[in-house]
Amino acid sequence: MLKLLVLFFTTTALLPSSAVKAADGKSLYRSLTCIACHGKEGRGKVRRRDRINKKTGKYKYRKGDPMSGFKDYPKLSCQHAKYLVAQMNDIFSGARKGGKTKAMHGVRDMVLSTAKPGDFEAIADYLSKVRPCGQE
Amino acid sequence: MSFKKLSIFILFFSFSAFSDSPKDFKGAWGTKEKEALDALKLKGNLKRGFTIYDEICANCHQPEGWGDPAGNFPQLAGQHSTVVIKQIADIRAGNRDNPTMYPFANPTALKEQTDDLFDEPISGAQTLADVAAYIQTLKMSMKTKKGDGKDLKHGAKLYKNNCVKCHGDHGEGMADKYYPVIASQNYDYLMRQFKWIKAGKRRNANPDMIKQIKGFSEKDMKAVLDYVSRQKK
Repeated sequence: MLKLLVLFFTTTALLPSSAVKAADGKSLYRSLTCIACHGKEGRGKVRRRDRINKKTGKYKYRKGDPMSGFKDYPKLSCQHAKYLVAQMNDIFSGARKGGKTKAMHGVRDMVLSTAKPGDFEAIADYLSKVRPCGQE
Repeated sequence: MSFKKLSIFILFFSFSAFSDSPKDFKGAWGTKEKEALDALKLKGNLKRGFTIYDEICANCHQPEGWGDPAGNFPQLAGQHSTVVIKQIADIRAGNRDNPTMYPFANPTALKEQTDDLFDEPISGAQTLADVAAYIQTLKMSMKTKKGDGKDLKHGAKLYKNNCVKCHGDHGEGMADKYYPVIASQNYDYLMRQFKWIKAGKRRNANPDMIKQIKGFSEKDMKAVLDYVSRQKK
C-alpha cells in the first residue's frame, strides 16, 4: 500500500505541466477564447478606464461600464457552476441554438476538438468563484 | 478597346453576374462602407495596430495570427491589409454570416473597445488601417491544418486552370484587387468558405469565382483546397 502511495505521488509530481494546466479554469477560460466576448474574469466586456469630457468636465464613461456590442452577452462571474456547465453542454450539443448562441456556435469546432473531459467544469468552477461578485 | 470601354464592359459584366446570383445575394463585390473606404486611403500605424490586435483580435486569432487548428478562426498573419479592411466592411454590411465577429466588426462596438486603449481616441477608419497594417506584417505559419494529401496532382491541375489568375501562382492573392492570400490557410476553414461561396451563402463572394467553381465536385474541392493549404506565399 505504501509503495502504491509513493508511486502515486511521484507520478503526480512528474506529470508534465500541460497536464496540470488542463484543470486550470482560468487559463482554459482564455485558451478556449471565452474571454474574447465575456471579458476578463467573466465580468463582461467593460470599459477599462474613466474618460472625462474635457469641455464639460463630466464623465463620458466610467471604468466598468458595459460596452455596446456585448450588452446582450451574459456576465458569467459568480454564476452557478452547474448552470454554466449545463449551458456550455446545451449550446455545443446544439440543444440550445437560437438567437445569440450563434456567436458561440462559431467556436464550436475549436472548443469540441480542444476541450478535454472536465474542462467545462474547471472553467465553471473558476467563474463561479470569482470575487468580488459585483463590479470591480 | 479603350480603357473606358473596358471598364464599362467590366461594370456591365459584374452587374449581370450580380443579377444571376441567388436572391439573398445582398452585397455587391465592392464595398460601400465609408469607414472602410477611408481606411484604405490611410497609412496604418504598426505600434497602434499591435495594441489593437493584441487586445481585440488576438483572443481568438491568436497573438501570432495563425488562427486555431480546427479552422474556426482563420490564419490572418500576412494577409493583405486591403483584404482585412474589406472583409471587416463586408461583415458589417451583413454579407458574411459570422455572428462571432459581429461585436468586434461593428463600428460603434469597435470604437468603444479601442477608445480605452489610447490616451487620445482614434477614428474608426484609422483603427481599421492600423490593425490591418499590423496583420499584414505578421509572419504566416506553414503548420496550419492540411488535407489528406492523397490527391495533390489533381489539386495542382485544378488550381492552375481555375485559381491562378486571381489568387496567383502560390496563393498570394492581389492586394489592389482585394483577392486574399489563401496560401497555407487552414484546410477546414478553406473548405467551409469554399462551400459557402459555392452555395451563395457567402454573399460577399466574387461573382466570377462563383461561376468559376460551379462545376467543382466534392473530390475536386478536397483536392484543390488541400493543394492550396500547402502553398507558400
